Amino acid sequence: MSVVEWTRHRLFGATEDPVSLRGAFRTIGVTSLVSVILVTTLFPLYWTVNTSFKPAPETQTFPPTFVPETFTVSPYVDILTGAGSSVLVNSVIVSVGATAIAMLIGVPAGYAYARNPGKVGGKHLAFWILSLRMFPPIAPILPLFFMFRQVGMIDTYPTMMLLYLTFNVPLVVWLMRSFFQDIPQAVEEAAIMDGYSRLEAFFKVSLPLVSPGIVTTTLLVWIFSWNEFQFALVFTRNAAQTYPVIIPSLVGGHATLWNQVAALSVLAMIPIIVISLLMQKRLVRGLTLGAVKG
Amino acid sequence: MASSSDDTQAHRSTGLSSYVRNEHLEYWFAIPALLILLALVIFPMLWSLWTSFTDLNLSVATRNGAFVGLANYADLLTSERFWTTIGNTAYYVGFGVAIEFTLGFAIALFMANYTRGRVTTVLFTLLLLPMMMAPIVAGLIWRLLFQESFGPINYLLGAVGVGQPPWLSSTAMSLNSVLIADIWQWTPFMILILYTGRLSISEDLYEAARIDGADRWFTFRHVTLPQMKGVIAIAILLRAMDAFKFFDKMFVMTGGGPGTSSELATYYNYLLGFDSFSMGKATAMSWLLLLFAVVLANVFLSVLERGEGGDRVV
Repeated sequence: MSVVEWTRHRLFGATEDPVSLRGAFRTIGVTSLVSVILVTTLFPLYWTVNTSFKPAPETQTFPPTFVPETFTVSPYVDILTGAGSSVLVNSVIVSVGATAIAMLIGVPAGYAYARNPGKVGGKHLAFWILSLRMFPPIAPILPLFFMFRQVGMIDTYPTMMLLYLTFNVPLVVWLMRSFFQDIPQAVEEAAIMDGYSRLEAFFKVSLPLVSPGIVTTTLLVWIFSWNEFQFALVFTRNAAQTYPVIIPSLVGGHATLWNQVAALSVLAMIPIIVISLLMQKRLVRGLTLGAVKG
Repeated sequence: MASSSDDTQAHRSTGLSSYVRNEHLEYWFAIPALLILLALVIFPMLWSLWTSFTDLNLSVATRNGAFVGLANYADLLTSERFWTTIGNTAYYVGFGVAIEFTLGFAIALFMANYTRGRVTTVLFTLLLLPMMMAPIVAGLIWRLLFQESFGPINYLLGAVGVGQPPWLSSTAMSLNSVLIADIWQWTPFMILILYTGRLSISEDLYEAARIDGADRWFTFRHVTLPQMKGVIAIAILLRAMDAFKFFDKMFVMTGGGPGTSSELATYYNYLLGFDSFSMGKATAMSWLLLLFAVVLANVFLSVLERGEGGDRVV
């Protein structure tokens, strides 16, 4: 078996073309293009991981080191014993709380708009809810800041969880509407014939059937809350400060802690990587607001 | 079936609870969401609209919200900085989305035609990573890469003799550097959506084209492109709205500088509110930005609504 043939076999499994010069060129072309895509995507991520394991002076040497010369985990220790652990804990609390509330409020509404939009303002109100998600965040931030400041509720967990409802609820309503629409109404009707009330049919029949959709929506909402920056920048100071806010402050000014900020970024990315591995194609539907069903 | 008829008996109750459970279920299900959105978005935005006609400034005690008519709007529309930041945003959204779409479409079609099995799965998974991470982290990563004196990009460019461009410190390049980071983060979004859209086209259509002896270009032009119209519109509009909304990457990479060379409109709006505390002018600017967002959103919704006639857009 030639190298080209072997590579092709490993990469693409059996192909119908017989091994030929043309096939060989094609394999080389495809392999190099795939490699270019992978390197471009991954190099920036690699560089961050690389930086996060260097001692501070080594982050500013020329030429830069493509593998840490002195491998150290002290950037992780330093950031976690410094500002890092409290912002990560805050981020976990705010993002989990925000997601839970958004799901509690949004899932039933999504169901209502899937089953009987006519009773709750019609399809146009559903579209209007979705359009709220397209506001630039700064637009609601300005009046909300003024209001929350008046009642002295800046920089608290409940405030952040509440604020994140402004963009999470529209997303949950819209996505869950799309997922509930996939479940034939006939299964609920059958349950109602068996004596369930509509509320029981919802809890015992529809909700279990839609659980993959709930998982997708929950994870997506969580990611958006975990990554949120503009609201956190305006509404948090200390007590509720989340990790995206301290990243720019760590690289501002003269004392630039490149290795520590890289370590914090790596830590913040870990859950994202896990979720990406778990969700794969289901994310596409979520990210297109249910329009593209993978 | 005995138990189910017992259930029937049990639930023939009358009164409020069955009323809530049955006839008005949708109503009770939708009310919390609608109330929350009313309280957290609609009411504040009405306050914001009113404020945009006043001189409210949180740092000047005498400017406590007197009505000034359209003065804030007039100030903005005649200010050079306003138009600079609008121009920057137009450039950022326009070029960003155009490049991301072109690259993404090409790679999506490449993947659909040439990669199989495990390679596709690996590509798919790895491409998810950039777009799932916080834009602020993506911006930070590119700030590391673009370091002028010791970053890896300038080292490699220097090694091949291109020189060391001042990526973030030159007015000519700063916005383009932020754009590069945006393209890195969001081209995968285009790839994945367009790839999914391409795969949902029935193979029969390609088979028919093959039988008719259509060449590749003809097949692309008359099968792929028309079949993917809906997905393409969705991908472009979603991306345009997001590129317009967020200033996260710009914030961490350049802070809008040098000068205002990379300052985006949403960031200028932020500064008006939280740097100069002039709420009147800031709310006026957000209403101007909202007008643009509403236009984009309406186009998007009409595409989506057309798709709802059938059961899906793709």
